Amino acid sequence: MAVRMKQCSTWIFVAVLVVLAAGCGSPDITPPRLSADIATNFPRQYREQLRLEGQPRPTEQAVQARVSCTKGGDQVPDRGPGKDWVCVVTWVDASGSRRTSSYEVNARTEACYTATDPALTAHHQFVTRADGTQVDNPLYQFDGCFDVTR
Amino acid sequence: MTGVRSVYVWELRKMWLQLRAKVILAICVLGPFVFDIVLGMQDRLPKDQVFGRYLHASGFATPLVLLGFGSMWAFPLLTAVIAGDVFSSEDQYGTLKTILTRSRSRRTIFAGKVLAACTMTTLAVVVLCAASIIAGVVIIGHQPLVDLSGRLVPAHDAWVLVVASWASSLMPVLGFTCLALVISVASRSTAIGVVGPIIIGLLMQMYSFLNGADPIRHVMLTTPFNAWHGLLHDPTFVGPIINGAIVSGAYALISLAIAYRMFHRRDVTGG
Repeated sequence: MAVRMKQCSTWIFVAVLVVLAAGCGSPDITPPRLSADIATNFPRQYREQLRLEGQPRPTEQAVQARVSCTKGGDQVPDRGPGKDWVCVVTWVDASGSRRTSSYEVNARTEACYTATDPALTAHHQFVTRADGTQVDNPLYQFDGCFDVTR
Repeated sequence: MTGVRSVYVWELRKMWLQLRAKVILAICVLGPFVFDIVLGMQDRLPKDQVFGRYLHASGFATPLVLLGFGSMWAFPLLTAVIAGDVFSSEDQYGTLKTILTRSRSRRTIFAGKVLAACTMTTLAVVVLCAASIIAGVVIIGHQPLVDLSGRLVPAHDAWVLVVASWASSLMPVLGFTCLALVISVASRSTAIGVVGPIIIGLLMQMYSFLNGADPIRHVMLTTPFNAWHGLLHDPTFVGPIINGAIVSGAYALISLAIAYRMFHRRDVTGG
């Protein structure tokens, strides 16, 4: 019986430690991680869009994507998963003019996200390929994942 | 060693002769083809799943979407059905006394059974991986794949990354196998042995979906199932795979240690 009690208390001690450990530690999904990943991802999606359309493509660096992400309104802390992330991307298009896109980002617990540009919903959800077929516009909606261990 | 080998071969034969093992392997072979054929008949794509939007665009998306689905519920189910009754069936049929009175030690029998269960689950995962790659490439094609950082991966790199991704998921699969084994030893009931790991898997998955605290989620056995995302990203990141290996290894070792202790100390009189 005494052995049982001792084992039991050990487990309770471990459980308390785990719960304490859960309280601290930095969250997985943060604005720097999300915006850094979209800054890499977005230019490639833009290049993919131009490739599908059969148009000349600028380099990833030439797109000069700058991204700033926030979550929800002012009352909501900017961390953790949710559908209410908004990431504003400023970038340079193939003609050299600077543009701004506002993405609605659904960040999920496993550190993957889906970014959607609602401004493209009406007329630019699809792109027409060189051969005339229609495919999804990569800039309308794209997926990404990022590293939470660094 | 020869003792372990003969128990191992015997256990594998026992599993192989059960209808269950053949049904599971048949599902692993045919499932991906059915998935791709049904998908080909409809326009809707599972876009909430990573690579879901590329299912029509590249055949390499098929094994990756199935890997995502598998980690949600299919892998715990697979391991539970295979490993959940490896020990408890002996209790159920009252055969434990018979095998323990043969010239094999409990340690030998334990090792043979564990190895056989791990071999069968690995085989099921390998078959499912191969079938889903073949289904994708044959039905959809070997077009280049857009990865999780927007990079276009050519076919000759894509299939290597797909195989590596599946290989990384073997770690939590074996973790679940050991969990099923300890439940099998402890419960002495086939029903609990099979249902237990599935429920544990679902609870862990639910905790992740419900936005539980991140540090607890990191030690869940379902988290390493997502570690492969870093392989289909440029630059590649392997931090989650290393963490996943530690977590899966810890689950496997602790489960096996508890299972061995229980099995070793068990007082077998009936049967």
